[in-house]
Amino acid sequence: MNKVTLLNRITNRIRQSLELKEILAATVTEMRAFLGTDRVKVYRFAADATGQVIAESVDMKRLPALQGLYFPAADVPPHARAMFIKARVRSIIDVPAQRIILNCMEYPSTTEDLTVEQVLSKSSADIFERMVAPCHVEYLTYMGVQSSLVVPILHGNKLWGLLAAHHAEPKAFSQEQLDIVQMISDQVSIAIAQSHLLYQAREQARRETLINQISTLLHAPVQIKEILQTVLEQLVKALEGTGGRLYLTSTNGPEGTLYTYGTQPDLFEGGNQILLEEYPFWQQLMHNQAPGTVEQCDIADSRVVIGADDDSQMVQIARSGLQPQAIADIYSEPQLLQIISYFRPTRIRSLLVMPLRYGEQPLGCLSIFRDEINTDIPWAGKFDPDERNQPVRHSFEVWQQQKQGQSREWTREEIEFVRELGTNLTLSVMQNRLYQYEHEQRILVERRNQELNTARTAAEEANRLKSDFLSSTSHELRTPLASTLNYLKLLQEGFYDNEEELKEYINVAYQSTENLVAIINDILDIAQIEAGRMNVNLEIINLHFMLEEQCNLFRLESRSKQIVLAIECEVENVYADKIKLRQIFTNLLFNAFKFTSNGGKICVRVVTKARENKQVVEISISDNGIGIDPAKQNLLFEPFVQEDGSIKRRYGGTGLGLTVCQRLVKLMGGEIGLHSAGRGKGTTVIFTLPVP
Amino acid sequence: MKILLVDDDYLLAKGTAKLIERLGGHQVVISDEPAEIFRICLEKEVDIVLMDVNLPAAQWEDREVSGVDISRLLKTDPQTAQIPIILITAYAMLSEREKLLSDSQADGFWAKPITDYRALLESMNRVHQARLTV
Repeated sequence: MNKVTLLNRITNRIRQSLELKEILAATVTEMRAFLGTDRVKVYRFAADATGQVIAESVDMKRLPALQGLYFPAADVPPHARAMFIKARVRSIIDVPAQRIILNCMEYPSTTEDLTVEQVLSKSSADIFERMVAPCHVEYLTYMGVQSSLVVPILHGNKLWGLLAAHHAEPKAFSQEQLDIVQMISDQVSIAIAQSHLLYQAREQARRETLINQISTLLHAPVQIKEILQTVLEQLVKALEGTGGRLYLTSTNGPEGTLYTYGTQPDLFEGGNQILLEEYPFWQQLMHNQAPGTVEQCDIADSRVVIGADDDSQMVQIARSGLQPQAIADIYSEPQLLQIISYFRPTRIRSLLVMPLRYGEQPLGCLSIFRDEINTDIPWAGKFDPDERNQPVRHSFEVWQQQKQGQSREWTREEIEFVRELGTNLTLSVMQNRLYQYEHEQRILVERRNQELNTARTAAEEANRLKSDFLSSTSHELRTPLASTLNYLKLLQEGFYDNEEELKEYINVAYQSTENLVAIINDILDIAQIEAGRMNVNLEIINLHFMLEEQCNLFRLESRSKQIVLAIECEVENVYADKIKLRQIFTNLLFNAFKFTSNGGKICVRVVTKARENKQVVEISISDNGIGIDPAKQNLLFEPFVQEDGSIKRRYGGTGLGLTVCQRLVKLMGGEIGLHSAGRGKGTTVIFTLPVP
Repeated sequence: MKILLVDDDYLLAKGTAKLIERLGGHQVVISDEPAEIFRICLEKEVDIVLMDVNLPAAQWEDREVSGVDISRLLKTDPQTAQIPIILITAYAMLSEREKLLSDSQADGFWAKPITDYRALLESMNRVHQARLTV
């Protein structure tokens, strides 16, 4: 087969897929067919230098299958790995001849077995031709291999794995075959690089999709509480965690908000729920004091072990801004010793904490838990580390190693994912807080505006009433004053014709002045009460004495108008101001006598009554006088208001009497009301006072 | 001059009327009945009207009317419009004066109590003379 055609065929098969598994399977199949060996395998190194056969094509009649098996780190010793990197060699071993040819294409040569240091210090030319070490020969022999061809697979500058061809019998490889194998290895390296890029791109896309989904969710028109719970759930699932919690500090108090999902540490102690986030580890993170010392890390690697001592496992991605703290094994983390007992009842093994902070303001933190895992590793042959001096294993018999309580490292991608999400979460929480704040402020402003409006309306109303009162006062004072002045002027000018007229003028002037004094007294009373300057001197007053006093006062009136004044007093005492209560009685009785025609009846009745679960003294003064139009009854307590103009003309008065009574009753903690069935049907005024 | 004095306070009006009669030598009629007021004015029995504002019992066409209402009615009726009207009221606050004057369309305004009768009489004469020359 033409060399170029063959290479094209293999290259095409490799390029048909971007999936590493398929590429490697195709590679080993094609290569075994090409070389005609019993086995072609791809061996991949792990970080701890152990390795696993991840692709194999084998003739199982001649050699055992190794697919999936792990080999200990010592099987490919450090100097051998270093040599693969430095010299990019192929090693071709012919076991019967005990020769190893380390072939660097340009310099085919052999040397003795070397140490890593020797490999690194020697020039490439010196290490190419040597005898194969006896132990290596022994190793291959036990594997059943007589001929071996091994080519390194490099990824970047690192040794990714080995492409090996084994044959149960001695076999020679032609130069052309070696060239082709080398080219295949190069193609595999390229394919791995591409596949790796694809994987990274896919991972990136997956994370971005998740972040987009969560960002969309964060701005959904749903209650923030529901959103945050959902985000937490999605996040825990995306990180393959078993539980998580999101703690947010409170904006106006010590109590924060906690969202939990899945497995939680056992935080009950003495019946109380303990808040994990109150412990120093979380507090320091939230308050921008990284636990331990943060070292600047190697940018190329982006991973750094931080902590005051070497035990700390925390991995941090060094970037400006907030960093998640990733702890693979919480039981190995000294800073979690204080709280580790809460985790013991659970299978939680790994912890990832992302602080949320806006500027210097701590907003809370996000914690993700991951359970411990158990792994089964199929090893190819026993390897006893205590027998290191006996480097060659005699058996490749498969055995299963069970590793329990394993922690899973947080990958750089996972940490970066949480960091990005934390930023989104922070912005969203902050936005929500600002919105809430703005909302509250708006409500506050609205309420204040309402209060101001109410206050303004009240002030305007008070102002209008005051202005009305002033206007009425002016009018009511000027009218009697005009009369007084008129008659004094007539007297002064001597415009009277006889003694009788003189007396009449003096009389009118005198009465007008008296009237003026009464009005001034009422107005001053009201003004004083309005201004809050009226003092009440509450005391226990005997009602019987007071009513008797009133009877004496109105005896003359009662007799002259033939009006019966009946007193029915069932209450002994009342709690009131003596002078003011007397004024109320006099005012009301004066009205009753004024508006009751000759031969009528006035009744004062005093009883105790329950009003709104309170005992009060109720005093009613009823007459069978002219009565009041029911529509006007409520207006009569307003200053200067009388039922209508005719009342003033017929009965006089200023319309201040009831107003003064009302203010005085209120001042003593009572209420006053007026009732009349209508014109000509009598009037009853009822007021209450507190019981002593 | 013949004068119509409108006031519901009879004692007050009596004193005012007497002072005007004796000090100014005029003839004064007192009334607080809208019907009577309109009749007197229509029959041209008066040269000038002195009008109180607050007339609590006054009714005209089943409505309560004030001195301002009566004054306006007189001023808007061509037959009585030329009779000078001076408001004399205890609603003497400056803020009220403008409104009372414009609402009543009266020719002058005096506050109660009247302290300077001679000034009032002069004012009445002026208003009356002005009417006659027009």
